[in-house]
Amino acid sequence: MSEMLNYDFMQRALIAAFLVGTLCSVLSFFVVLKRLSFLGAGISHTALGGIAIGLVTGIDPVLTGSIFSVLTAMGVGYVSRAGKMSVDTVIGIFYAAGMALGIALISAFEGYYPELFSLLFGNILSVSFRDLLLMGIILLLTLAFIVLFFKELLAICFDEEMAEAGGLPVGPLYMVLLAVMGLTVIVSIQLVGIVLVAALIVIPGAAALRISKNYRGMLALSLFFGLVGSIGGLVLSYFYPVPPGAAIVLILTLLFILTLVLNFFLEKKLQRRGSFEQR
Amino acid sequence: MGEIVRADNLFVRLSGKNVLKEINFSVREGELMGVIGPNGAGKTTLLRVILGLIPISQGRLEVLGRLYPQLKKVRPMIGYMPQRSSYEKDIPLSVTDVVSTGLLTPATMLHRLTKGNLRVKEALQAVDMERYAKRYFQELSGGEQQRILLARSLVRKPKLLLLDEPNAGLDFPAQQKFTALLQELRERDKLTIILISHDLISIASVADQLIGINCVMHTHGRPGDLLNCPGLDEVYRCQFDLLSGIGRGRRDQK
Repeated sequence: MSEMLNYDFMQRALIAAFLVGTLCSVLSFFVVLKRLSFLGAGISHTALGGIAIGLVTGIDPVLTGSIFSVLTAMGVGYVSRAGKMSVDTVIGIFYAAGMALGIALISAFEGYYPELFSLLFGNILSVSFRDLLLMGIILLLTLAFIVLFFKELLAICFDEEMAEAGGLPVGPLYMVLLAVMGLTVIVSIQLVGIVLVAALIVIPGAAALRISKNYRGMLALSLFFGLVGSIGGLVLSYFYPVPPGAAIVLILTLLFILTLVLNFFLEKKLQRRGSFEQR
Repeated sequence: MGEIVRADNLFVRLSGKNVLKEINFSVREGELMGVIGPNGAGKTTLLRVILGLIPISQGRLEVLGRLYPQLKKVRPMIGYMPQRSSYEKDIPLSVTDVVSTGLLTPATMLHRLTKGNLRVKEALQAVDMERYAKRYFQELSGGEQQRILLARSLVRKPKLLLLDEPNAGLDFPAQQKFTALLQELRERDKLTIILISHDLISIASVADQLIGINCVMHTHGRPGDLLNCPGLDEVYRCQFDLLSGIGRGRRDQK
């Protein structure tokens, strides 16, 4: 195990797993409570359009992908609210449009894009110091936003209408949350790739919600699952011939199944106690 | 007693269509005004207009001494309880957490909620749910959840309370209890209440005045006078026999 830390690329990969694991699991809390899970999948697939713009123009694809993802996330929020459409419908349209743009650009400008495979399936082992810096900055900005407006975001998750009636700036806070989601998706793509990134921002919160009844416990468990999944997956991929992205998602899925089983037994126990007390 | 809400010839236009027109009423301090009308009549829109969430296209609206379009400033003085379907039922919040969300205003942003616990305790006492403070909201029955949401709308000590079908989905005893609680709050705290309900008999028993709307305001008056007037038939576009609780469609009449 200690041998693993002797490699520079593994040290950087572990730091990346920690940063992205923290970022995704904190955000996952709100994604699950606000029922934005499909948005995570939508933004990640839409990002292909932005990444393709970068690849064919020679601009950093992470930069073009970030701008594209943030605009997509905020666009989904704006169109669904202004047009009074369900978020799912709007994501469904943006999702396909972004993918189509990516495919069209890559096909039209034929060339060799070695980064494309990494972006589709993730390549945490190629993370550079610059990437770590970007992840760290986005994590700090996200944490600052969430810490400063935690109670307001929680109130919006509980009842948007009541929050708005109370005078809270629901629209702007929601838009910033979506923009943060867009940025999170982009930095997470390096870890698990476009195809699997949605799992990273959905499973930690969904698993935590299964077994916790208060939001503080849910947030702590989401963080725990996110870190176990991201760091555990990376370690697993070091010892076994499994790509890190796939290993991370498989561990998270296993954790989710465990919480389902645990929830089932907890419910049974509560039912038994209830019927015993009735007697 | 001063006027808390006054609407003069109010028109509301949404997506190019008049959803409310010629609305006139006045609610004085401590009064309870009932709003009745069929589904889609614009009752919830009316409450959202009073909150300043929906713009008016014509007319004059004054709420707690402020004229439209400055209603944003009076929102902290208004308690609002939307329809039951608007809140997230599976969110892991305790009763105290839910009631605390009612204290959030633009002024509390970036600040800790001081005296929050005391306010929450008082609001739970007001609805006789103090012993539920540590329970989880999702574990409560529909009637209990409604009382907690009422506590949430009372936690800011509002001057005006807007309730959107608070009895919907509750069984008869829970409805009776809720109505009795509203009466008690009104008498004790001199609260001004605007209440939307589909239960004509129940609303008539507590309201000082009723308005019947179906896009246009068809009736306005004391409950006793109004339940027997032809305006009610206009509101629902059918004929009522309130004693038997049967509404007959106009086609049946012919």
